Amino acid sequence: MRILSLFGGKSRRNVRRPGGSSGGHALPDEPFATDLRSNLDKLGKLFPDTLDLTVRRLQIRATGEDAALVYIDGLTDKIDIHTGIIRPLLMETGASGELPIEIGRMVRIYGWNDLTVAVLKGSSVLLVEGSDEAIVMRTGGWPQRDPTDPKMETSLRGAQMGFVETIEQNVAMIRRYLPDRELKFKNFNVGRRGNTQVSIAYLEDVANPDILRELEDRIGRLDIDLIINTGELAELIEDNPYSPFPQLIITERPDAAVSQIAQGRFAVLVDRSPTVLIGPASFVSFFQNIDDYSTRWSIATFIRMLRFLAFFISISLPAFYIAVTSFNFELVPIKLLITIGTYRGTVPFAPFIEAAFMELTLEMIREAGVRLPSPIGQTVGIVGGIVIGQAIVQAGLISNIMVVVVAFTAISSFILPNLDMVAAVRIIRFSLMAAASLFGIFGLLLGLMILVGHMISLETLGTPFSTPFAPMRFSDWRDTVVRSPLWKLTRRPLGAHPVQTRRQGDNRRKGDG
Amino acid sequence: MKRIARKLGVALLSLGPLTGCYDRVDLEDASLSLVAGVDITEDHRTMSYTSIPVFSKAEKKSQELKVVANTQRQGRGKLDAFTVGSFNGRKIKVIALSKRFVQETPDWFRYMDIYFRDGRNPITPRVILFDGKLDQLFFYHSPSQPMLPLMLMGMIKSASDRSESVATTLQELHRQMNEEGQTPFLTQMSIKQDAMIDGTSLLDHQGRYVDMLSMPETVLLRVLQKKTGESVGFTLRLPPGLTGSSGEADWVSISTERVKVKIGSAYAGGRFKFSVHVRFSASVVEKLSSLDLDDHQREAELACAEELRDKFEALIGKLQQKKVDPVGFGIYARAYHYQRFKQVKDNWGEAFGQADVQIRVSVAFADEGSVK
Amino acid sequence: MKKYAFNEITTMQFIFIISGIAISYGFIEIPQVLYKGAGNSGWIVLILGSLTTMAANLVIVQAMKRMPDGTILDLLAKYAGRWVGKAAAILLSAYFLYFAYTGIVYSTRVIKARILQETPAYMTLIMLLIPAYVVARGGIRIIGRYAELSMGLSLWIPLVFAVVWKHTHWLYLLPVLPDGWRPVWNAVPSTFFYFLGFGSTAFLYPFLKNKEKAALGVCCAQLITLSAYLFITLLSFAFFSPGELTKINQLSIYMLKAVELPFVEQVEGLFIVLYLFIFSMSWIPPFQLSAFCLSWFADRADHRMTLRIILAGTAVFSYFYVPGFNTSYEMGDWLEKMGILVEYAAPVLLLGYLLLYDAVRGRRRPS
Repeated sequence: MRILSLFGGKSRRNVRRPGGSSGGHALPDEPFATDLRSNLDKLGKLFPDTLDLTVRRLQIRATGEDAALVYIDGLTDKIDIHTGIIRPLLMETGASGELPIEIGRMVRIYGWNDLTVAVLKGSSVLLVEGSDEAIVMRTGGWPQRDPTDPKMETSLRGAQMGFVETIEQNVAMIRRYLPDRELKFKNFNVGRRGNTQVSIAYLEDVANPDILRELEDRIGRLDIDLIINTGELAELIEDNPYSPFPQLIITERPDAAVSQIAQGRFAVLVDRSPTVLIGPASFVSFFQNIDDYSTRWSIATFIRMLRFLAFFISISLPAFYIAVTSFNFELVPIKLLITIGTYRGTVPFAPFIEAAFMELTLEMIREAGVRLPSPIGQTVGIVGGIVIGQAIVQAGLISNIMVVVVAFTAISSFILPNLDMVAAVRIIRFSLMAAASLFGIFGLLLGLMILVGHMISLETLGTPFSTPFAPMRFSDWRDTVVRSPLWKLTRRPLGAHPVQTRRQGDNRRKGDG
Repeated sequence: MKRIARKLGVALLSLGPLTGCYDRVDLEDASLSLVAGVDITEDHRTMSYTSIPVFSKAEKKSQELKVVANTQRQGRGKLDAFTVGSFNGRKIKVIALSKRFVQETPDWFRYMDIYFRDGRNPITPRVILFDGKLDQLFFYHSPSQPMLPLMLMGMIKSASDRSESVATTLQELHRQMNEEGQTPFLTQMSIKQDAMIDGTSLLDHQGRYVDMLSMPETVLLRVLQKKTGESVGFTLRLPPGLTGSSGEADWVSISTERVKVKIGSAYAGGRFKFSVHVRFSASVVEKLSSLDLDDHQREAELACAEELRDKFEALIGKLQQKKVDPVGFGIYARAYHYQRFKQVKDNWGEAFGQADVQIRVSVAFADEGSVK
Repeated sequence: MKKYAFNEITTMQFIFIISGIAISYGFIEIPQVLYKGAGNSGWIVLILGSLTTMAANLVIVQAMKRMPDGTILDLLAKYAGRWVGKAAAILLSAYFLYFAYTGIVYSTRVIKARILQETPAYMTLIMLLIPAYVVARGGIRIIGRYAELSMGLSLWIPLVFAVVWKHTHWLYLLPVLPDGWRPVWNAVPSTFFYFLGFGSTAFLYPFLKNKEKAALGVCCAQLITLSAYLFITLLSFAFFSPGELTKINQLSIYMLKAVELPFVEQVEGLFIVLYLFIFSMSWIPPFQLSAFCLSWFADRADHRMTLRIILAGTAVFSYFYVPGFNTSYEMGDWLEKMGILVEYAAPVLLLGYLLLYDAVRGRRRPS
């Protein structure tokens, strides 16, 4: 079933869905003619000016029939085609009625739409004289790379293998971790032109069927040209695209994906994209990292706390600085206040301008560093460091304290393990700065209240985003701000509403052991 | 639909130009008064003093000003004319009152009203009574000292940490002024060779200056108030009969480890009776005589206790004579003899003056140090 | 059929909503009220007041048991006719709106007096409406989460007040009952105001997941309220000298002004803004309930439209007029009178009516 749907057209879902895979070529699914010549004419009309379309005429030795093999040059594995199809067809004298083809995956199709999709996705199609069916052979062999270590989510102890651009390989990576019959993949084709294969991976006896239905429904309803990357899919299916918070985790690590699947969540794999979408995500899950579970629990707990602290600091520290320097300086102890005052005394800008300027500079340096090739990227860092650290302060444009604040904010935001959350933090930080510049500490708190109000109202795939804090689920707290010892995590977190909650038995050795 | 939540920044920003930022005063634009002072002129008009830190590359780190004004608030208005930034009292750390102001202004405490009424003003500044004209204090510059507010704060803190001075905050003063069973007390300072703490000023219920306690007496007061710091030290003279030496070698210094004060109260014969039992557990830190503490520990302890009791009795006698009760015996009286206290609550000082106060002191040496 | 399925609240949320609404500004005001009423034995009054409230609250739960899947309005409509329900909806909507408005005005005034002195009060008030909308929009379920979170985020409050400890004089609490029991009894009704808000039980009940725990939840909620009040009352009584207690407004805030921490000075500013989470419990749930009643009156399932109307109305009204501190206290007095009627007296009458109704029905049926 899974293989079938790879070729499009036959999937139940595709039939049902309006504007499905073949919608781009608005043809009714026309059956093949029995005459090979007219079929080839038709093929020529369907694919005009297609340089890489190869049509190989040949005579099948076993049956003596004329046939044509159709495939696209660049998308197929030539060795497969030559040794697995063409040579046996030309050489073998088939004893049985079977065609002597040495390819594992073969499917018969009956219409032009299926042929188009198959050919365009890298399969070879054999049309035989006198037959109104065609044989599709899986000979995909497009350019692809080997799995390398994940670039963005490096891990100290985890596997050094990241997802790649081919969904089959990604599926294989997940299966390697979970050789379990209950691991299911639900497939969809998304995009009229892109016809991208998307599949939802989950554990059937653990994951919640209601959430699955919701997810299926959202993906199934998409009517779009093309999906290039996982991020696009995430934006299309998430609950509240206006929220600053990411509501689905995007990961490039198979081990991270599998660990989430094992907790009863869903992973959405998108063909051609080296990242996987995981949902439903809660606020806390953006602070978890696969390394947390492979380091000792005490240090993992410490790092967790550090991350939450860092999150709080990086959203509110510049705003707090603005609030205390231009509204509420009574909060600052007197000696510190005099120090700040001495530095601020020579700065010509108001604290908000100062802070906004420095934060923007920081964002620019960061953005410059991301896109530039790494040798130049380092130069940017050095220039940025010198410009911020030295020149600006010496020129009296920005106060020393502000530089400290910015540096502290930046470091804090680097601690957060998830890039999408860091992006959210940046947006929130600027909003809070604006609020603080209007109402001081009251503005800052007002902003935080709105943020909290928004967070508790936010839902991802119908589950609360702010779990396990609101609604409070104390049993889930074991893997939030603290990371309890693994033997304590006997139940799956309730955040994803798993139908089977027991995760493990008692693994703690008793007695003197 | 949910735009308000998500576009918080945008919403606030668009409101921003509409509304302006009313409360914004940038730190460097504010003239933060750190020390406030009140004095009176010869013709009994009040004068406001202030000390403001200067946030610039100027040589002088603070600016000191004085104006004549009817109220503190009016004084602020006048001070504003002298300062670069807008005058601001939200960070006052020390309030200095001149002795003359306290002596000659009836009901002077009402001048402090602004600190309590204005919700943004602090109520934690230390209140000191300055013996002399405030000009001396505010325009005094010692090259070896930090700026005025830091200097005052540092002095008060170190002295009160050693229990040699009180550190009455404005709120504490407010509590004492509104307390029937206790009279107020303030840190008293003066400038002799350099700025120095003299001891503790005692005020009566109306806030009039009555007398002062020296720093050693203040230590005893703080013991009775159960407000001693980490440890207090006493240097006591042992009787010659015990030490066997004569004259200068009789001194012994002890440092307390634990002080327990128990105050019992009773009412009999038309007056209150208080029995105070002070127990010190102390270590010997200095001993000039050759007295062997191993052999004569008990005697030495008793001698110390006696010496201390004399000191306490002298202190109580002084307080009773002046009819002030900074210890707060009245609070005990109210708690345990409410009906009796109610009769004298409007003039507790008087009643305390007639009260019978018994003092018992016991001393136990916990440690005699590392040499015999 | 369950009318309010998918919108359930847990028992803990139920508890926190009820005690959150009550505590909000009672925490700031109650020590003084108690002292004025009964001197330094005011804390005894508190316990009596709390017990009375618990009883009144249990009466509501008892009445609501007849209508596990509907609010008090549905109950009234069923037992007393549709139009009684509608009238009650309007009255309760007005009551909760007034409740919320009093709360938000009080908070605005505190902020205006202590943090944003120059900013016009209407602006502060309108700003406070934004989080109110964000939270109340989500319905009872989100309010429940908010209550949980804001109580959780406020657990630091006792810790901060612990710093006040070294300034306390516990002898101030003696003598107990200096003037006998009479002032204590007389002062009990004055505490009712600070327990108001438990009327929300009548609306929360159908949303509650475990209805059999409602009575337990109500008791817990009142105990939480009581312990918060006892804590702050005893602390203020020990902190302030008797002469001060009547002279100072907002004792709880003032107390923190006496605190200096090594890293923050003037803690009370920070306290007030952080306390907004609790303050907001006095207006966010009532705004929501007001909108709920109004939409029930209009037979609309979605309360968001009415909520928007109510909040926008409040904003526009506030633009022209925001009551001063003294007016806000007067408003509180009115609210107290209404509250005693609505939350203490009415449920008893209602329960009486229901019992009578059943008795009459019960007698008629066999005949």
